[in-house]
Amino acid sequence: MSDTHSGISRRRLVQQSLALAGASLLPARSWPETRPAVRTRAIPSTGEAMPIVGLGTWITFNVGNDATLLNESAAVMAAFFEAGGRMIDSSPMYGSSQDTLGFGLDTLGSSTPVFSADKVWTSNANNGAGQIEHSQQRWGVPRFDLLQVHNLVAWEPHLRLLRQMKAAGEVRYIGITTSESRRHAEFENVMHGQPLDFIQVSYNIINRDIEDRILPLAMDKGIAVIANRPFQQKQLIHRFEGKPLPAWASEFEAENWAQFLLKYVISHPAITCTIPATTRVDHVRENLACATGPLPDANQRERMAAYVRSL
Amino acid sequence: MDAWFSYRLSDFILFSERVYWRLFDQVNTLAGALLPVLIALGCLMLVGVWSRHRTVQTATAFLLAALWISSAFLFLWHYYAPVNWAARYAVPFFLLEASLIALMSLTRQLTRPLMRNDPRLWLGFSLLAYALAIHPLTSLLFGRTFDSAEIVGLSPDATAIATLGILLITARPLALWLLLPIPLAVCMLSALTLYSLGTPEAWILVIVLLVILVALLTPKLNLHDGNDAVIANARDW
Ligand SMILES: NC(=O)c1ccc[n+]([C@@H]2O[C@H](COP(=O)([O-])OP(=O)(O)OC[C@H]3O[C@@H](n4cnc5c(N)ncnc54)[C@H](OP(=O)(O)O)[C@@H]3O)[C@@H](O)[C@H]2O)c1
Repeated sequence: MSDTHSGISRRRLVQQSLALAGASLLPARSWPETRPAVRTRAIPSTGEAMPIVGLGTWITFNVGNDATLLNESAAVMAAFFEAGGRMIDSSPMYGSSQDTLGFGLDTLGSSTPVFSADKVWTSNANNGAGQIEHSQQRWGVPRFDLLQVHNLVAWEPHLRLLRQMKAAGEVRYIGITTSESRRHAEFENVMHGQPLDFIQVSYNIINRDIEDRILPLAMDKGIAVIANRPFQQKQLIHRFEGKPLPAWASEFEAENWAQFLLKYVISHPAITCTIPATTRVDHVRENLACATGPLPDANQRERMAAYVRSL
Repeated sequence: MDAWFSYRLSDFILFSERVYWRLFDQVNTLAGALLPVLIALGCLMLVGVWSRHRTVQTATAFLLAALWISSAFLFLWHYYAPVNWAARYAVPFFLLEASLIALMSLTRQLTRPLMRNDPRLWLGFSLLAYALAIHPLTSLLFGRTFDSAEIVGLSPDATAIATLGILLITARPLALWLLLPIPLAVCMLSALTLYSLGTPEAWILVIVLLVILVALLTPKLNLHDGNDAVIANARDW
């Protein structure tokens, strides 16, 4: 495909035009010096510490050639790293999101602490390697930290490829993803039969399907869990805004519904990291703030779920 | 391929409403000084479709074909495809429509065969005038600025609505059936996209589709070459 070239030249073009316009809003900096301590969980297969709140890019970072929105996305990334975030998740399925990430990483300088998580998403097993290489070029990273088989599409050949890549040091971690409950049986089978570092599944206070089998299995097998759709693509925010936040939410420092919902997700001990997507700097800060304060315990979690059911 | 069956329509909408409308901002900025020219050319078409003069008819059809090409490359290819990979696959269909319009014009299938009092003529004019003059203003109506106005020749929807209008006015049966499917498909797909984005503009396209349906279903409007005799008597319009 010609995307490699068009993607990269698009990014360069926009960067050049921004530079010409003197719009260097985000100077490169040394990230480790400016980052606060955030709560982390260990990736079971290596013990590497991962901040429990990451960043998704579905829809929010698909902004095409729009220089204004590219800059806004880079500002979200800057705020994310400043607040101590590391994992950013994308996919070749997400339109121009990978280009946007590449633009952001270029703009912010090479020292960003990014943990790059991407996916392979093609039903043609022969296209996997080419797609991954193309994705790396779009991000502008020499290798990904994590590669996942997106939605279990052609998972057998793709996992074979990812295992080979991991053995050759071309990727650090491998995994599988789904956002559909009806794929959970198949998902479990893959978890049972394949060596995986990560799984990525949908999990939020309303969609708790994975609590019964998948999360215990992940703990049992030592697999890190990324929770996607913590806000069910904003539906939960819309559903609860206007409803009263319970007074006892202050016990675990949830100041608004977004933090209430996010804290529910990350307080499950099997969750390694959640990846809310956002277009807004204030939202990314609010989300990362969840990684610094206290989290609800098991009793408070039950109370949270019951309260939400009662609304 | 069973992976595809597991997706819903909204799963294919990879971008936000804000990003979608800003695409028009960008293409209008790119068109820049050409924008008044495009609007003027659109108005020329409004005059051109009245004409029974062969050269004017051909020029109008070729102008319409050129507007399909400009909308394919400037909007679909350059701006829309980066946020929606499916847009790339629409480009050949836009080029096909442009080629068919040119072909139908050269083979005298776009000659305005209707009587002046035929309602289809007036539905066609209404659609064309709407596409040229009112559709661009809907950006203001729905709380955006004129910067994201949808202009015929840049916006696929505006170009498709204008084409549907022109076809109702000028097309003989063969041209009608050959040239209708692509602009109809554009309107349907856009209606679905806008509906999934949750924007009320989707209903405009539904109304356009209903107008076309009404035009095609009205018995009086079925074209027969027998109309030519009547037209011969009506040459002095
Ligand atoms: N199968 C898969 O592999 C799969 C499937 C689904 C998702 N994912 C991954 O998971 C990520 C997250 O899922 P998602 O994007 O579907 O949904 P999500 O993260 O649950 O929701 C995203 C929405 O939440 C809003 N939001 C974020 N922070 C907020 C805050 N503090 N206050 C209010 N609103 C806030 C954002 O709007 P604003 O822009 O206004 O902040 C955005 O529209 C995806 O981006 C993707 O990377 C993977």
